[in-house]
This record gives sequence, structure tokens and C-alpha cells, in this order.
Amino acid sequence: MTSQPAVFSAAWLHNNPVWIQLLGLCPLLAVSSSVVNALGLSLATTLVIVGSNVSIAALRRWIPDFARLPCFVLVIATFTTTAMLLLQAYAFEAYLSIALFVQIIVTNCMILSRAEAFASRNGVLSTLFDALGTAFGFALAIVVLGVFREIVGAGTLFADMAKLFGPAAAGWQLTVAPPDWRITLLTLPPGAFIAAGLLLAAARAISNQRTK
Amino acid sequence: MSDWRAVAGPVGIALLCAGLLSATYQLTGARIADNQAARELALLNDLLPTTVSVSAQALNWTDDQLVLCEALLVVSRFSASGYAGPINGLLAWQPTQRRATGIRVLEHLETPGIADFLNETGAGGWLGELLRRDPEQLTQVDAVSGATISSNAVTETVAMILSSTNPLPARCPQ
Repeated sequence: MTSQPAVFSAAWLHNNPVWIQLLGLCPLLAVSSSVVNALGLSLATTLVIVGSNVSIAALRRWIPDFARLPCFVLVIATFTTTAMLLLQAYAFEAYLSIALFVQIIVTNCMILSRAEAFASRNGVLSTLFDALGTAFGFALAIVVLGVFREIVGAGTLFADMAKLFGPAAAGWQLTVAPPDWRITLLTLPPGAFIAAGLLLAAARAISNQRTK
Repeated sequence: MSDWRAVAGPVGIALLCAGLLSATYQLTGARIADNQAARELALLNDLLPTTVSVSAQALNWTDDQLVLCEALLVVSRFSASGYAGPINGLLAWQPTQRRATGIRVLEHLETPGIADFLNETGAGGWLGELLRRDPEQLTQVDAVSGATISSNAVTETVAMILSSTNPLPARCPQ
């Protein structure tokens, strides 16, 4: 039995869902074109993974082994729909730009793999820390990629944050590059692969350094 | 695990999920409807010529049609059967000349990237092309490559609306 802080750091650092396990890459590549999109999807994913995995841990004695996958998917789909409704109600503008990727959180193998590998075998409290760690690891990866692509691709940072945080956030945009700076490639899908590959290589280099 | 638990477990989980969903819907339903109405109104004002503007109070939708007598315009809500689900939007048209003057897509479930043309409202875009054609030429508009079903669904829906009965005589006092 490992301690809760160890569970948390294992989930986000040593087993980072994106950079180590390479899970959840579809939303990572599709939604990281700007920081606001990345944060919106991170919030939705956090709600789904924490809600569903804690529920699965709490109900695990009632889930028969032969029907566990349908049960997991049902719980995950419920929380995905909940996240969708909440975003539509409280951050409609942000929802419109990431709508489809919120819906397909339900097929995110990162969440199902934590349900199968951790939540169905551990208590509620450990699962809470594991889910928070996994969500944090995913958010970190996607937001770092979003920051990188927004700065290099569009020359801005935190543009359109009002979509997610309301009118108070309208002035948060920073211009970090000359006014005519624009590398459109980085904001397009091929740029997502290139940027993700560079960051993945950097993450590998760092973790190789640490193990030596 | 005993037999009754193997049945009661999944059934109980399904009920819990349904309860959570309906509670969330109760909590958010009204706000979502408000947000959607506000967005439709914003798109509607974007769609109409600058000389015409409508407020939420003045909206009088009948059978998904909004008749603007003074401007001789009709705005129709449409729902085309796209590739992955309905493509919902608004079409402004002049029933006397049977011409479309503006089109906006409110929501669709088509593949992102491939169906981005549905949200491009500039005159140079594919939707702008529809507005330049006479109704009988509409079927000759090329479908967007890779999105034949989505494009044809929109073209056919627009053609159908343009050939529907002119509501102006019945709805506008002379």
C-alpha cells in the first residue's frame, strides 16, 4: 500500500499519461492550438476522470467482473455528459470551440485504463489521488503544448480567455512576439505533431538524465 | 459474487447514472437554453443586412420562420441531414425573388477540420457561393471535396426552402 502523495506523483510524473504512456493523444493534438482551448478541455477531463474513477472505486464491490467494461464506460459517459452540460451552461463560448472533443472524452483510453488498472482495485481515497494526479499530468501536457503552440504559432499568450473565465479575463492577453508574427503551421494539425514530438523528446531527455 | 449482486450492481449503477444526469440537466437546462437563444439572436443579427436589426422581444417565430415584412425578408431555421447528424442553421431569403441572402450554421456534428467550411461566412467561402446562385442552379454547386454528404445536405435544404411557399402575402398586412 503506497501513500497518497506517492500515488499522486506516480500518476502525474513517473507515469505521466501523455509523455510516458502516450495515452489521450487525440485531444492533446486537436485541442492544444491555444491555451484557452487546452484549459477548457483539461477542466472537462479532470471532472470526468475524478468523478468517474472515484465513483468506480466506491462501487467496485458491486461491479461484476464479467460486466466491468460496460459499467466503467457507462459511468465515464455519464460524467462526460455532465461535463458537457456544465460547460454549455457556464462557459458556452469555450464549449463551442471544443464541443466535439468534450464529447469524445468518453473514449479517452487514459480514463478507462486508470479505471481498469487502479480505481477497480483500490479504495476511494487512493483513487482520488490517482485520478487527480492523472488529470494534472494530462492538463500539464496539454497546457504546455498549448502555450508553446500559441506563442510560436500566433505570437500571443492567453488570448480569448474570456471564453472560459468571463468578461473579467478579457484583458489577460499578452503579446509576446512582434505584431506581424505568425507561423500558421504551428496552429494547424501538422504543427501539433511537430510540437508534440519536440516536447516528447524533451520529456524523454529529462527523464533519461534523472535515471542516470 | 452472488448472482443477485451481479444483476443488482449494474442495474443500480445505471440508475445512479440516470439520476446524476437528470439532476445536472435540471441544474443547467435553463442556462443552456438561454445561451443557445442568445447565440441564435447574435447570428441572426449578423445574418441580416445592417439596416435591419431584431431584438429578442420582437422575435416572432412561426413554424421555424421569421417573417420581416418591411425588409421583404424571411429567415428560416433549417436542419439538414449531414454526415454525422443534423446541421442546424438559419437561412435569410427574399421570397419574391427566390434568392438566399445569408446563411449561418448554428451547430453541426460533422468532422472538425473537414467541415470547417460550414462556419466560414465570408463571401469567398463555399456558403457564399450558394448565395450567388439562382435557385435552379443550386444543384450545380460543387460539393466540398471530402465532405460531399455535408455539402449536398446543405444545398438541398437551401433549394427546398427557396422553393417553398412565399409566406409574405399571408403574414404581412397589405
